[in-house]
Amino acid sequence: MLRRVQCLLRLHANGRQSLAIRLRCYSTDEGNPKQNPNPNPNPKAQKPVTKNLPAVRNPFAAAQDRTKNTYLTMVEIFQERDVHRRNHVEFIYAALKNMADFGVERDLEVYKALINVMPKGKFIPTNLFQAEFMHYPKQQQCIIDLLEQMEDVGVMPDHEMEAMLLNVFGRQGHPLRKYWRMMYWMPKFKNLSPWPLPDPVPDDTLEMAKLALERMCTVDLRSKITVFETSELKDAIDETWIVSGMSPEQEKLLREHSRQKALYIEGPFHIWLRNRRINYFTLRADPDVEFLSQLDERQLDDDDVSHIEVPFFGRAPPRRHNQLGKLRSVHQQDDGTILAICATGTSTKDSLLSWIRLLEVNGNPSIGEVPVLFRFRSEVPAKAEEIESGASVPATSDSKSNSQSEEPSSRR
Amino acid sequence: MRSNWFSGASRLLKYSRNGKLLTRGRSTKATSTSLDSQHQDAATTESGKSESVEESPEQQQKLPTREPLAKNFFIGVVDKELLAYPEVIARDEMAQLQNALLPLKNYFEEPREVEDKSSTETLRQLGLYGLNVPTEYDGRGYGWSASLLASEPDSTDVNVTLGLQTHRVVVDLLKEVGTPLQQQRYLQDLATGKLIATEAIYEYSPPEEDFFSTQAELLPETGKWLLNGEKAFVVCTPGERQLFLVLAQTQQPNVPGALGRGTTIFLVDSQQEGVRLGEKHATFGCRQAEIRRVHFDKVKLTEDQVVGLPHDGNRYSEQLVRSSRLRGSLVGVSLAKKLLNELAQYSVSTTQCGVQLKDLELTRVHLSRAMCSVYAMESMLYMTAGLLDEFRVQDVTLESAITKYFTLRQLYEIASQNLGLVGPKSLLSGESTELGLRDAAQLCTQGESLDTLGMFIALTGLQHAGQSMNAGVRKSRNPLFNPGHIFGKFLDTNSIDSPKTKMQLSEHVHPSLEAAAQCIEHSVARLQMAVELMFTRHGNAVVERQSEMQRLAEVGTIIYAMWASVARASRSYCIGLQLADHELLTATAICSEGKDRVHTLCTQIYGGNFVNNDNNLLRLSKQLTKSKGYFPVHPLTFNF
Repeated sequence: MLRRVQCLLRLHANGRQSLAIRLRCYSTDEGNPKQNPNPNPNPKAQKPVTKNLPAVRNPFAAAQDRTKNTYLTMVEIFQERDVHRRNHVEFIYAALKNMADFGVERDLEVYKALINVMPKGKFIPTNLFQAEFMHYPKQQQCIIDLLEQMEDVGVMPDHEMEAMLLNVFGRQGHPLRKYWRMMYWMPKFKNLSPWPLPDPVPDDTLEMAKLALERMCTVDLRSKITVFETSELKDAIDETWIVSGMSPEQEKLLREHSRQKALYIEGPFHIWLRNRRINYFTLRADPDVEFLSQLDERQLDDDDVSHIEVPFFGRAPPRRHNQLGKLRSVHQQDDGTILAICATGTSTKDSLLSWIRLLEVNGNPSIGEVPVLFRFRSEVPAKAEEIESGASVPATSDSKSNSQSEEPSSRR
Repeated sequence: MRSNWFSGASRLLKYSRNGKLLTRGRSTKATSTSLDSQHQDAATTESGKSESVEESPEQQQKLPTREPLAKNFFIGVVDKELLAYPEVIARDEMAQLQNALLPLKNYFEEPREVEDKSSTETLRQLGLYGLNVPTEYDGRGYGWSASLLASEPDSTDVNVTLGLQTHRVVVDLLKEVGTPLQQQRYLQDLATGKLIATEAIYEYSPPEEDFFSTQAELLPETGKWLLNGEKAFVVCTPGERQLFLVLAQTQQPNVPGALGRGTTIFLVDSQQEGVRLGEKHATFGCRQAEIRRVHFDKVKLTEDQVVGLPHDGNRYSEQLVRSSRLRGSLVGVSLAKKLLNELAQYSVSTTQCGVQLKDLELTRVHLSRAMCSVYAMESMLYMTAGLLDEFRVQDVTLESAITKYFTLRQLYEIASQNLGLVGPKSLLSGESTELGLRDAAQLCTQGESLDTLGMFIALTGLQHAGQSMNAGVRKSRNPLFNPGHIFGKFLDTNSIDSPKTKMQLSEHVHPSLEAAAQCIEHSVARLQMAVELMFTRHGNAVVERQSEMQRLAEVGTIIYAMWASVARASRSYCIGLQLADHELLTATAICSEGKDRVHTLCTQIYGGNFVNNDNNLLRLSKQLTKSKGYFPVHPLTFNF
């Protein structure tokens, strides 16, 4: 009885599988060189390097020219080298590990080429037990790891990959199940970010800084991003750009800011855009405690409905919390009022000073009458030369370097 | 029996002007559905307030003030006496008035050239500028109802009437709050039309923080005001001497900041130095009317050009908007009537595919709906005016706002429905349907927008209700401190679907309207329940729930429309006017439709924002503003 069921199952499985193969018309032909999606135009240049290498050695580590073409050529060479494709699992692992070096970790084509290394048809289970007990576990695990890596770096597979996995492992294969799960979740996560970034993100730091500031400025929809050049000023030392974000609301807060109270330039803070870090600085004032306490909602009696105000002449209808005509803006936080943010090309004190002067010129004359202090969380070079000599901006925010240096900006 | 009594009562009403026989005494109390004592408190404060106002001899002839009608709907209280439609123009005066109006009617009925029509000289000769100016200043001395009736002929021409109505609004305000000096100085000229008054209130783009960007400041050394700024959408009469009623923002001396901000109403003569007419707005409708900007550059004003008290314009705004709303509604009513008549004519005379349009059910329903709307708006208009005329300093702020709100909404509805019936030719330029639609749209935006008007209605109602319901609301919002109150609420079997009422409105109308009166009763009870629920749910944060308030405004509007229609139909039938049986039918139709709408709206309010879809809409709007527009991607987009 049991055997009959098994036979039926097997027959059924085979039938479905063959149907799928016929429908997909995908390569079941082993080692067909035409299937290589990217035939290398000049294979001769690389061949001497990788030819006749023993299988145990890692050909990727030895490669000189680290490009996608080289990578694909090496995969092709491995496929053509011998019929048995011995050690192909090790080869795939090695290939996966070295993807970042070749800059191909986000390339779907490369992953497909690696899956294509697997022999077609051989690993397809033929009965229920094989299917349940992970037929060819090492090979299946290898491809699952490959898919895992794709998922981790956010590469979404396509339908062609489904056909390839079907041909290699069959409908019951674990890699295909993994694939299906990925195809359920990944499209859902793909567009979930409220601040979508272009894919790939631009290389240019200026563009990245603009993206970062735009993202941060979404708290106030009226914010405007302006790109200044320090060359607009007469005596700026650094020749660089400044991306500044400010909204009319913030301009108003700055106008109303007391001339006696100092403003602080704070930073550098970090914002990460995918895998890149941008330093930014804020122009901050101390919180207006008096104003904030006026808005304290606890003093209001919600239950008293006997004093409802009615406006005439189409004025904005009254709000409960602004009997004094005041509303707290999003920039007025409990720990301070953020008046503007910026990112500069060099992140130096000089460029920040230029920022303040540019703000003053561009519609905020009152900033010239207010003392502005620098308050850095880590060391910030005074001039651009110092950065260029160093590798990068020393911007580690660990507790040791958190010495708050306050110094008044010297006005030139 | 009852009808006999009623017709008797309405016959007696005409004597009320002489003050000999009062058919409506103060002693009759308003009927209340809920027996809370707080309502009585409200009544006493209300009457106390009105008595402090100084009364003119003319005012003293009128009947004592009654509680506000529409405001009381919000607390579930009705004044049954007011179901008798006001008859404020005495019979003999009415005959005189009709005679006096004959030339006006004839003038506006006969077709003429366009240029000729709007000539100010003819309007002056017809005496159209002095309708509501008192007789001692050479005016006709008409009251509210009479002057509305008298301005009906000219309101058939929207372009002409805009200028006339705004003139009358200023006259109304001067009559009420102007000093004797101002009245002497201006009213005579205004009556004869030598001086043409106009409101200059609205601005092209309202300022971010302030009330108005037109500012006036008091120069302490000379005691003069200096006015600066620009007003827009002013209906002007170029070439004539004009009197602008300007609302300007002023700063109270010695009070810094926003607290000292106020508005002041000024009268500015166009011949003064610094006043300049700006360019004409290219408006959508009412194109023949001169709607312009007016610039004021350092206009020097003396103290007697201030209407009322300085910095206190908001207090007089009430009188100002009341009058402008009433007179504005009249224009809407006339336009709606004209559109309806034209459509009826069209559907009678047109035959399509062998069927007359008038026989199609769709057309018939359209026509009847429009007819009901016009009937309701007309009833409301003259009812409100009648209340003003009949009672001393009667509070009709809400009634006048409702009248305008209802009129303009229904007018636009009628004008746009016409398009469907007449088809594509209705929008060809020069067609009367096209002009009607343009004018209707223009009227909807002239002055205050419908949305703000709706908010005004709801807020005014809530303000009134809040004063009387405060104690109950406080208890309901703190249930654990007031277990008795809450327990009483639990035992209450009154529900929004089947409200219990004891108003017995049907005793005050003709028996044929019993069902209609029942509709009003239920609607008033539902409105009161909805208001109480909103207060309990939101406390004084209710002013932020604009979507619910918009519903409340509609409910209040419908109830007043039903009330006025029933009152009018009942009167007409009792005294046997022409086609009065159809008036009964109209009132019944208005009430049964209104009741259903009120029920729907109140159920929505009861359901709260999660049930009535408001929450979804609010969430969507957040993303919409974040994306600054339409955010969904194209329907054919691939993701992988």
